[in-house]
Amino acid sequence: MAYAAGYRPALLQYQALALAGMLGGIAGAHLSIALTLTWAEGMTAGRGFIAIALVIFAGWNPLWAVIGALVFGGAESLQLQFQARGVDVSPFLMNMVPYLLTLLVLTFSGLRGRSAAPAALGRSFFGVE
Amino acid sequence: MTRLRMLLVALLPLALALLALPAAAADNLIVGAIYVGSVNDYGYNRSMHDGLMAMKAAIPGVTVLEAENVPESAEAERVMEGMIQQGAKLIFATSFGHQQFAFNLAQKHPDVDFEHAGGWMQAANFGNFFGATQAAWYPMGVAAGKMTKTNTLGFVAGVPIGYVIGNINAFALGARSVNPKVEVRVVATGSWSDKAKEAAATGALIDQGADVIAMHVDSPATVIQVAESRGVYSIGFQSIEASALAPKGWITGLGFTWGPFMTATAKSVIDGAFKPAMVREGLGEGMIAIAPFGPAVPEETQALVTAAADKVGKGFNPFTGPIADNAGVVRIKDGEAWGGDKMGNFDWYVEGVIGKAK
Repeated sequence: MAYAAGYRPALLQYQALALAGMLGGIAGAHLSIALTLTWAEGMTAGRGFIAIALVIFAGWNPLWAVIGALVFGGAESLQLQFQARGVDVSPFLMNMVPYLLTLLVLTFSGLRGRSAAPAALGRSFFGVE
Repeated sequence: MTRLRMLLVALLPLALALLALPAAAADNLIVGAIYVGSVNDYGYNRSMHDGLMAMKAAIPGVTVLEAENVPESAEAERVMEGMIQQGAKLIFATSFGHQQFAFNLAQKHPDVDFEHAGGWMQAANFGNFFGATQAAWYPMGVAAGKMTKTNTLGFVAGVPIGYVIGNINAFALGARSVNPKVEVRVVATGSWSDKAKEAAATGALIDQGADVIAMHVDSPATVIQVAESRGVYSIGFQSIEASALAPKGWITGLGFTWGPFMTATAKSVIDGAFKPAMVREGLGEGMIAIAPFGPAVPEETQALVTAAADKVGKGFNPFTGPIADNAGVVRIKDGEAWGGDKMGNFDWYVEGVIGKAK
């Protein structure tokens, strides 16, 4: 489709790849240098998978992905803030919040219908022979 | 030609291993150790590595095989099996979740002895060991109670199981023994190793006025570094090497000193006298040590902390009743005391701790 519209699919895909690498690098730099001030193997603690899930939930729409990231991050932060403030809730219940949220989002995106994955995701296209 | 060369290259390590075998079969003991994380964590895994190195230094001729980042899965069994194939006759499986996999191998290899950290399983060639940490946290509380200016202490906990709650309770009891106005705020991250959450938890506690931060997670590095960067004091746990992370705010800390136990165990294997047991030792027996004090700690506070540690080392039990929980209910009655067998039973916080334990 992009090809028919006059774009060069391979170039677009490489641009997206480079941008993804750059954003991932910035995120990693923030995690180790700004937030935790330390580095350790596996320190992302599975957050990359949450990012993939977010992209799917957001239906490959960047704006929804940003909103989703804020909601997930907020839930994680709330769980810690509530405890520090001494809110009278069980820490085990608080730890459930991000997972409950995942279920909720899954339910709603399920209601919305089929997944909106780009048709050419993961496929190479080098023009029409 | 290429196929022949490939075959030769593939066989080379095998040939080398065969050459090395007679040397390994001699009476020089080979000890294997598996760690769940990196030994450069300034924490739990570092303390285990340091213990192995102390053992190696104490017994000439001992070889140590180490594997880092060994998950608590069947992968652990494969890694340990590899060490046994290289001639290991004693294996330290150092993470709680390694227990079953080490035990399986112990059944399969009766001629290899195993020591597991923190578990309960026993066999003729399988023992376990751990530090009795709870009472040792009492002098840490004394240090924090004297150093705080805001009377608010912060504690970053990993998974809030009974043993961790016991550590926090002894910390609070120690702090309130020297400063009854102290309150302890606790944030549990729900994980033994999630640095982003540990950093956020530390920040949240400091925002609530905590000016001394202690922690019980696998690696104290993140919590200590964040506390240092925010200009508050920290008290370390797991490895006494963590003091290097906070040149200004370090107060003191607890570190495991596994060296003497590991050395004694290796000697018993060499002598053919390995005796499995459920070993739980604390400050008094030298399995836990108090880290050197930081520059900000006045001499009188140092003396108080050292005195409290001596008291614990000589058998003082902080969990001697009457002790009430933070809702005012007496949990340990007057004349009663909770011993080592009950340290995993805590599902309540003592008076002075803010928050819910379950």
